Amino acid sequence: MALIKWRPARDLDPLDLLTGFRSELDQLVEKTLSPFRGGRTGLFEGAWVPVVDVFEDDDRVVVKADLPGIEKKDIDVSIQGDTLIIKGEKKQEEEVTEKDYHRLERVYGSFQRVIQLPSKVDAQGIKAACRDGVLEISLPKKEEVKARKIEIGE
Amino acid sequence: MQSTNESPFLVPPVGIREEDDRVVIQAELPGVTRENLDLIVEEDDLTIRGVRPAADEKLRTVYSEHPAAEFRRRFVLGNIIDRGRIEASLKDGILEVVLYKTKEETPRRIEVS
Repeated sequence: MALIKWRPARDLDPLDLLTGFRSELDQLVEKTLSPFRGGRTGLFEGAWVPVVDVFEDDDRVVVKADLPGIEKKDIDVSIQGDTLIIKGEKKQEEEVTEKDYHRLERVYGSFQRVIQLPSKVDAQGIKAACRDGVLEISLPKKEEVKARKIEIGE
Repeated sequence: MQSTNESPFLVPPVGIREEDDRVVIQAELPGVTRENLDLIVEEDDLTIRGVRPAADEKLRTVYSEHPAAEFRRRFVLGNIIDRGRIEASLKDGILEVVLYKTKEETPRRIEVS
């Protein structure tokens, strides 16, 4: 675990202290749980972690996860509040013994990715589809968080 | 990720296995379609190049774990590979390249009468 520099609160404002502490704790949590990109990690339940991109526009959040060669039935997508969970299993296509391989870089086995969404979303409108080995999830933003133009009165 | 004097690219993980009459390469190229894939054999080199299409212009990137949009990997083909008989197929982001061995290299069963 990387050492996080300890920065004592600069003033004694209790709110400042609380905010400072929390963001450092968040950083600590992020650094500890941040998965090794696309590879193996011991901290998640899975054997490997898929590479993910997150996009958004005014109406929705789009999450794309690299899941090459994985069938729909082996993928599980669920939402809990602002958290999206993608998990499943990557199975080997055919029965091949290790001795036949010159190189075996592809990782198999169970995977899990927990993604903190940048916005509140409407769970009812979530759509997910798999194409060319990429799982694309479209999550409509909740009405109340959509940007609203404010008219300036006279 | 690697970069040379050209633009940076991602190196796709592969599985390479050998059977009696062929060598099979499986490469993970998620997001790549046939139109965006190039397979080039030049002398002893086999180069795989695939490009992931950019996201919809209207979308802003919150974060991306892909430092580059291009996959690239090069392999050196041994003399046992028949350059004229290479097959490739792409499905669900997995590219499978079948490199058949030359007839001389392929073990030939001799029927015993």
